[in-house]
Amino acid sequence: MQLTSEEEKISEKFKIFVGKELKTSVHRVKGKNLVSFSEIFGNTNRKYVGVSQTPDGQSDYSNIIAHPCYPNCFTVGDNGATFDILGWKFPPEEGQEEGEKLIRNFGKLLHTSQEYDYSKAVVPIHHGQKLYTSGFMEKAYVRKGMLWLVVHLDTYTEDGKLVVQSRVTTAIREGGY
Amino acid sequence: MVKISELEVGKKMTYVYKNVTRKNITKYASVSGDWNNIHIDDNYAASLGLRGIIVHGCYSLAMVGQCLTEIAGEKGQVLKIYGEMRGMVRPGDDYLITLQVKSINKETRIVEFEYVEESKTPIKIEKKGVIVKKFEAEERGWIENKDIEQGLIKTEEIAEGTLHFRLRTAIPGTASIRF
Repeated sequence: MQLTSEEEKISEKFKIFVGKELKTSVHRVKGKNLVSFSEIFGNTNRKYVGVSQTPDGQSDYSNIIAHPCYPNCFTVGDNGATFDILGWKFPPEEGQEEGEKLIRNFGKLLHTSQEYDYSKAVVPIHHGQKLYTSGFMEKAYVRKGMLWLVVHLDTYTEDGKLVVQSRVTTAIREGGY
Repeated sequence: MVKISELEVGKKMTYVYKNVTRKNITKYASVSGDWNNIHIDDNYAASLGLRGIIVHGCYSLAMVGQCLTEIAGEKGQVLKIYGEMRGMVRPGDDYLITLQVKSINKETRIVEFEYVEESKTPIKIEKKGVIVKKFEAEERGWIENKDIEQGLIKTEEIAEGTLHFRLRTAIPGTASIRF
């Protein structure tokens, strides 16, 4: 990815956000949601939707794991870890009480790429876990008139076991930053 | 389910998933928490110039995830999925996911793929020069001149007549599975 000298110059002001950490978000995994998520895509594999019954007739989700794209539920969207960025601001300039928002118009935001990486995961995502997602801004630059933000996220269980690493890229069109 | 022994570098496989429904888009919004109205409310989406709702980009990526779970089967594990959201997908579209094997490591049992997920948008069905069925793409004006200029409009013969549709890239990307 090569920036022109003009783009390098414009990108400079956004570098203060590179390395900035996101507020840790918490997500409680519910078996019913794991099944619903997989069923949307027609999944019939018992590994993802095979709910059994307990002796007292309750649903037993202990034998299923999350669809590999289930982390959509805690990385993007209203409850997602990246939601924190919408509140990020530049430091106030002289005479300002508050700095300008990094993203001034959410409507100009495009979700441009997504990655889920389980290669370092220690345990799969399953019912009952309380997951903590933390992360940081990996890159922030202006290219072709758009502000590109790349966020790295790590999601852990309550006892610190990694379940997935994610990377979310968004592009904010002119007028939105 | 595909066995690792059946795979070879360069092998291509295409999977088809029919008809993204509005019901499933709403269900996805509910489960994922992504209630952006451009995915839910046709009037709101139209007010932004979108001529109707579009499917969540992460929904389309999850369809690739679904495809990978089918390839991995009961014992395999999806290790990585990366995708670039390039083209809007509409309710009523079909997905065509074509994966190509890029590498196979028999020691680690990891297979790497490149893939392209395309969306097939039905436009209309004609029979003897007469339109016998119009789809949302025709009624809401989802087809643009650039689609025609880029040769994305195709036809195929089906029982009801000649189906006109647009076929374009939704998400290209890479993925890996451990067998």
